[in-house]
Amino acid sequence: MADKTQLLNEIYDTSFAINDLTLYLDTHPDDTQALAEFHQLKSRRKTALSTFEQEYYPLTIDCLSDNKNGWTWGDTPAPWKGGMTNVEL
Amino acid sequence: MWNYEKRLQFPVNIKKKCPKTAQYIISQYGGPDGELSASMRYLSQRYSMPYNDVGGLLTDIGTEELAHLEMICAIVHQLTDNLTVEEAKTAGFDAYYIDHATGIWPQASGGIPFTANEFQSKGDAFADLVEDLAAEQKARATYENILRVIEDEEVRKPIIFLREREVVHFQRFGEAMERVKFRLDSKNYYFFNPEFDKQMMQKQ
Amino acid sequence: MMNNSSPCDSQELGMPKMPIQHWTNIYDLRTGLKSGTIFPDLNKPFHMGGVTVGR
Repeated sequence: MADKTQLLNEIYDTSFAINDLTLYLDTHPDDTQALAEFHQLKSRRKTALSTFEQEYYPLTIDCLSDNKNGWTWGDTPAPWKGGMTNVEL
Repeated sequence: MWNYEKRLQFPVNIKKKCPKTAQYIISQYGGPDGELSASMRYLSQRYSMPYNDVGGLLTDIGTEELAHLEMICAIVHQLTDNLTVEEAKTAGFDAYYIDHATGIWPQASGGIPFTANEFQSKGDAFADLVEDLAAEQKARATYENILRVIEDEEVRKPIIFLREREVVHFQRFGEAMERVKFRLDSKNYYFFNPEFDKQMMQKQ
Repeated sequence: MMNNSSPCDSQELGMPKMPIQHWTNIYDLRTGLKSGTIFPDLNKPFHMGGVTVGR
């Protein structure tokens, strides 16, 4: 079982870097170094989200796997309730 | 256009209630220079922007501002969740409580409700982008006003994050403005409005 | 087609200018998230406020 805190940290870290890189690439579409960094992070994030869904709960609607029974989308605690208390910055 | 992910962009975990702080913070939800104003501004301006890259940036930053208003609401909510009656009577928060209890509603710290009057979507490429540059500066200055008066580290951390995002957005809107300039004639950028005077546009 | 503006307006008067950011090494991801940007060149922290001013 992957450590929940480690997975969440990976999701938060890679996702934010992707957000910041996205805006950079919007105004620097030809920057190959930025693009390489983006794809590397995208891959890491995808893995982390998928692992998190398998072991805990889905964070995106696309993460809902076929294996689970029933509607698991409602299992996630609302993030504004401080549900992600594992992630302390 | 929107799917969502069930987490905030930056985590918000506030353990100590404070309705006074909530009154300060709520301005970055429904205030003139807050995240709702920012998101509605950029998401409104994008439609008439003829350059795909700039329209794309408006959508991307507008989307990020929606994520930010969510963080602000999370902060206000956690500062006021399970408030006692005595706490609700805190000077500054009490008037809000009368109309909203601990519901979240977009208004400025001073009580002025959010209004579309607080942003413009001019349909002119330079007017809109310069408006956006000003908006990011106003938001940054507001976060700094908040940082001067807030001591709770759990509140400061997401606010420090949000303030820095405004600096980055300012840079991106400036770069977008340069990209618009690049498509026009440097002898006179105001010769026509690329958003309206379509007959003047050359093939991009 | 052009109006009577100066042919040599190389200063681009009447229009603001923004320098374009160049790519540099980015922060480690956790530092980036805490700071609010992965780009060291854009990290401009505010000095005032809180218990420890000038952090």
